Amino acid sequence: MLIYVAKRLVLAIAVLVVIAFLLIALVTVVPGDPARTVLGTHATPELMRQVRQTMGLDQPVWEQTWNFLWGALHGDLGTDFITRAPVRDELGRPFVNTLVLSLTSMILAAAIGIPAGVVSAVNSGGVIDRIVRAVSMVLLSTPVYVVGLVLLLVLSVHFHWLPSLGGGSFSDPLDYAQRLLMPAFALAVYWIAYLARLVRSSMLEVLEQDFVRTSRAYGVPESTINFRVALRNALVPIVALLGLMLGYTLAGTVYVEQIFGRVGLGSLALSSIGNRDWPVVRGVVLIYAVAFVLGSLLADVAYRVLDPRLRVEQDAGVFV
Amino acid sequence: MSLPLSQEPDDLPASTSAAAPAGLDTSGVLELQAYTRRGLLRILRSVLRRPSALVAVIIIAALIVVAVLAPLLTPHDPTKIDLDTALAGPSSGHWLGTDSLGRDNLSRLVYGARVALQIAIPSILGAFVIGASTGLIVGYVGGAVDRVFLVLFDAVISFPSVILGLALLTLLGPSKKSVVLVIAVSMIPYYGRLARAQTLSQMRNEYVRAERALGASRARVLRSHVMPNALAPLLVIVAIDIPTAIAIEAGLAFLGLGVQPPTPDWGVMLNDGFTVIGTSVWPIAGPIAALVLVTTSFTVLGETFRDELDPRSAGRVRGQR
Repeated sequence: MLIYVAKRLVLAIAVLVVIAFLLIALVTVVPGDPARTVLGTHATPELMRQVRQTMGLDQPVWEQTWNFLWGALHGDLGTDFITRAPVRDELGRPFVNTLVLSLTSMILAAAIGIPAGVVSAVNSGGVIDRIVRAVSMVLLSTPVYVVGLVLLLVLSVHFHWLPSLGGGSFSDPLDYAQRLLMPAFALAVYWIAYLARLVRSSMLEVLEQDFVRTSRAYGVPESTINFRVALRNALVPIVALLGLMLGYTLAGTVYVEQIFGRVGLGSLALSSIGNRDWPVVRGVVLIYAVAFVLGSLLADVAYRVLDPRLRVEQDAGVFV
Repeated sequence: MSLPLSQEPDDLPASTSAAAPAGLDTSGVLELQAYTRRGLLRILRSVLRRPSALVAVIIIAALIVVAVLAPLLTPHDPTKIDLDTALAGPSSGHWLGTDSLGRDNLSRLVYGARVALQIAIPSILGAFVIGASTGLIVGYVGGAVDRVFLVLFDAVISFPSVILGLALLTLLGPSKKSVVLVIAVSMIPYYGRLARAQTLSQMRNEYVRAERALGASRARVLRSHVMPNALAPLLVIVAIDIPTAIAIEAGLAFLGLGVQPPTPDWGVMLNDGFTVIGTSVWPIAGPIAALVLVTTSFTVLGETFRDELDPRSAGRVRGQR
């Protein structure tokens, strides 16, 4: 197990290094000089050289990558072109907002998706099952921004039930929670459908097993079979999925924050793209990538911890 | 946030990370290679016998027809501004009303289908050609090259397409070309991994070793045996991935990063309509309906194909009905 974790960790670090390298290399490959973006078209060559130097653009790509990674490890993500503030300080608050949004949506997804899947599996073939399957098919296909716009349209514009714009602040927790609800649900919709389908199919698979038939024959109550046996087994892949969900819901926040006017990593990235503020974009992208890589690392490890059968193959290694 | 549907047949333990939690399990599609061409026709026929799949096919066909015939179908110029009729509701002149600049929503919607396909098809095809050939070669060569590319693929997959889009479009500037590039780049690693896995499983076959033993060159084996057998099944997945590309394209345009106004594009329409959402729903109603219908249709079709191809799941479904 330890060997597997170590190998997987090496892979994760390699991926992050490649990402950092790509983020640095992109600037040199793509036409347009960041120094030019900061200074405008009328800058003197002398000034250009100075700014390039402070931005580190005069160094070779490898060295820049190293500096970027080394800085990032020490919590230094560079300096904002526009405000001249450290990027780290600018990311702090939005990051918390975005993370809260992401985690809330994951909780919502689990709280709705898993019961829906159980109901669907237990009534397999029935009316409820068909409805759950049809609805989840549609929700699974619908892009997150469409879901967000529809929710906004129905709940805020039409019924005025929930406040539509802004994220509120922590000083007013009730307001904050209320404002969190709709965006988090918009983000959760895809995963509700996904979890419902996953729970349904893995429960059905377990219910077909011989040991379930034997339990029935011994007179174990149907509810015990459904919940203690089938659901427990069905939850294994879901726990492992949580890591991946974190990465994907974080990415989805870009759309959701835009629609619901929230301050967060996504909206920050969008506004800094408008300003061509590359250090901020780079910092945000790095955070997303770290969350994603870390999430999938946790997913892989959790899967093996939870399902002992997989551990048998573990020493075959990462690359087989 | 839809993810590419391509999921790889898991041949490496580390790959839960790379196998995106796709909505569909397309593993059954890979069984295609077990079927002859005649078998494929038979499967097609039984897919079409299901009402839901038939509806999906009709919607997809309608999308293509509308995209191709856009100029013939639209009563108005999709970019003609007429501020006098701005934000009007549906009428006999404008079936879906007009947007904030008085442009005809229906005409924009119809032309939007064209833009969606113009971007989705080349980006998916490009991603397939590059991804599949890379995966094929990498899988065939193996060793260190293989490992390096796996890490590369993983690195790119670690950028969800929006984030990759954010990064690339900041530097490239938004245009149709950059959007195609962004979508292609985000899909390449999925096809790369799939093709690699397929190649590895093909090469385990006896006949490949026999061919080598008979003196065929590596290039010949790769070209005439491994490639057709490994890639044919992927083509179906490519078709199923088209809505993913459409969703990414419209999403980027919605964020203001993709296709730019005044191009009649579903994402641009959503972006325009979003600003007047309190006044009129008509500007966004069309693109919302279109996106839901098109993406769901492709999902239903992909799902039906999988059921038909995977005897286990098909049996289960029939057993329940």
